[in-house]
Amino acid sequence: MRSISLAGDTAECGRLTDFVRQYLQEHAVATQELMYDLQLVIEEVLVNIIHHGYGNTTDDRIEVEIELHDNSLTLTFSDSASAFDPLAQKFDSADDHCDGGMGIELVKSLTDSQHYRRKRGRNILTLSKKL
Amino acid sequence: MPLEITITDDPKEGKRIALAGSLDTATAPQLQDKIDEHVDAGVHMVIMDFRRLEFLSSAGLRVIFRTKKLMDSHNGRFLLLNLQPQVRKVFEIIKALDGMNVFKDQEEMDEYLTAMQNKVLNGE
Repeated sequence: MRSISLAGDTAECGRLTDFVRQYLQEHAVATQELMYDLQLVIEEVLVNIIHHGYGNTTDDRIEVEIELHDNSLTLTFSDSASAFDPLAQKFDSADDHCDGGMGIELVKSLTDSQHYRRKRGRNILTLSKKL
Repeated sequence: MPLEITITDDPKEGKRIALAGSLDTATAPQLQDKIDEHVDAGVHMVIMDFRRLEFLSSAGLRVIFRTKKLMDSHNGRFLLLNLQPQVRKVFEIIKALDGMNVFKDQEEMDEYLTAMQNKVLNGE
């Protein structure tokens, strides 16, 4: 398991993607398609946390953990914004341009499981993806 | 990855917007600015060429939907061309292909435009 601390700024998407790519390369599982999917998931989650959780770019940080186990990748995002469950956002169709809904629809489609919980004042979003 | 936008005018086609690189949360405002600058009610057709676009996120999709809405509002045409598989997948996940005119390549689009033109000429 490895972790990284990010600033509350969407400019960090690239840094997190590079961190994930490096970890997966070390385990020889970083395929092009997998990395594309993860890059997209990472952007959609971070944008959601920063815009909808924190309300905008913030000094508060986002902690991310990554773990590969039994051919399954788990990504855990943890932030200190007020209670916000990104998975609860609704998305009805492409006509519904509700900011968060479209992004989370992409995350749900590109990962195998998603789980949100609130613990000790933090939002914790856990995603897993079978390789 | 940055976004490269090339806009060309064509009296027949209207505006062709070719994208290269990444259309994401960082670069979407750049595309929106270009569209605000170049596309208005006087533009009868916008063709977006995705041949060199490698990455698309929901931020990019929102600009694309806004452009479609703008074109619809004055009965203009909005056509998407040459989507790479991973970019097409993003449209498919949110079921956005149905409402859009998406073409595999230039040839397919030309056939469509010719058919549309013939319809007009035949008074349909």
